[in-house]
Amino acid sequence: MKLITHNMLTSNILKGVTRGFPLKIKADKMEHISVDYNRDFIARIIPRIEYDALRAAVNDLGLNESLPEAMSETLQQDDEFLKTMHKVLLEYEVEEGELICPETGRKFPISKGIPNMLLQETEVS
Amino acid sequence: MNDQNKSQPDVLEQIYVHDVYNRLKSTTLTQDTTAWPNVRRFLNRISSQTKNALVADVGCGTGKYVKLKSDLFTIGCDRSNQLCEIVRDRYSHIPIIIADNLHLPYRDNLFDAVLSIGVIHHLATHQRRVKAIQECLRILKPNGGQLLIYTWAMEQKQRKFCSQDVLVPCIDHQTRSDIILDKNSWSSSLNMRENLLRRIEQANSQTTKFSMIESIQNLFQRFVKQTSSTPSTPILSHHDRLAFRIRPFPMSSYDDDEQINTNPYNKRYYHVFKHGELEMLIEEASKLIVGSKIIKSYYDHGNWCAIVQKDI
Repeated sequence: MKLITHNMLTSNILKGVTRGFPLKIKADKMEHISVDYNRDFIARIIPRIEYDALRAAVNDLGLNESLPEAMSETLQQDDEFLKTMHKVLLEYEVEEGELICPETGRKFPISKGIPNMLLQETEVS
Repeated sequence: MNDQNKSQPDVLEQIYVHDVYNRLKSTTLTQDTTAWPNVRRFLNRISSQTKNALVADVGCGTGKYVKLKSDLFTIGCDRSNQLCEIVRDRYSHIPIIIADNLHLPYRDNLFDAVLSIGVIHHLATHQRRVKAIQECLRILKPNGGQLLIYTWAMEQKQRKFCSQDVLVPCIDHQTRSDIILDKNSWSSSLNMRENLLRRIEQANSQTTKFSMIESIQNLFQRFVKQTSSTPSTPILSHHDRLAFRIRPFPMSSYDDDEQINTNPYNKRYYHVFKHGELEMLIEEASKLIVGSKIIKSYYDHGNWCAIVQKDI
């Protein structure tokens, strides 16, 4: 699971959960893979990224990547920053671990890089 | 409605959709590699309108659309963990999650396009099909996000369904020599959805899954013969090429696990759509997700299809 995927996911499908975002990440096994840098893509995707959630994910995983505290317009044109965003969003892969609902603590397992977001019938909203 | 009743379409989908996809051999599943030309066209249009568009393939199966266009960022999801693993094995590090169309774990208003290809017809009630479309619309980006839906049509040249709720066996390509539909082919059918649910309710006194399967199977007493005009060597439709076959429904009982595993006929539940039904469903779903409208609906090789745009 890439962090761009994590950034899209919410657990508000659970009964009683209002926001369910961002999900906490617990990683048991991680990989770093190399992905071709596409400046256009990163620049276009940034407005759709929940930046604080991304920073929380970087923190959860203990990645040695420095993301500035706040996003700005100038930053979005900054090549250094865009390259860091590329790496953080696309190159780190959580292979084994779990996603945790911030409101209920419900755990969603990640196995072979695939988060399992299925719910029991009794859990759905 | 009590909880037990509420879970009945679930049970049907679990047995006749999810369990089947998780049980089929991966070689059988990956036979289906041909991308529909009109789905490709839709994605081409999306990418020409929005560079590096974000796409969700809901019910991505073996992932044939996930990597179709390199200039789109597509995230796949499927209800079947086996299918997700196949996709991940085929395309290393592809973004994919195991999720249910009825409860998509995505943020609202996110995707430039959503694909729903051959998914909604696996849901067993009207309400669930509406909900599935609602979920796809919810995650769509306002101001022009587009959803493409494909559902299997009741109106087909090669076969005749006597009901909209059917169990369709699928077979392995290794036995493709007898895949041809001929006048001895049959279609098996459920009477009516309501009837089915009533029977399941009656069967509720029996607690095990397998006694419930038998109860569903007892409903399959009416078979419809292929129309006599069907040529003995018809041109195979897309779905036929995907190795579906309609033939006499084996009335075998499922007494133990071994029989289930060795049964060559893994039957999948379909609700086949009548002309106009998909549009009606979309309109109902649009009542809750405002600002969505159908911009095109069409028939494509045995499927009813629609493109829905979210404007607000």
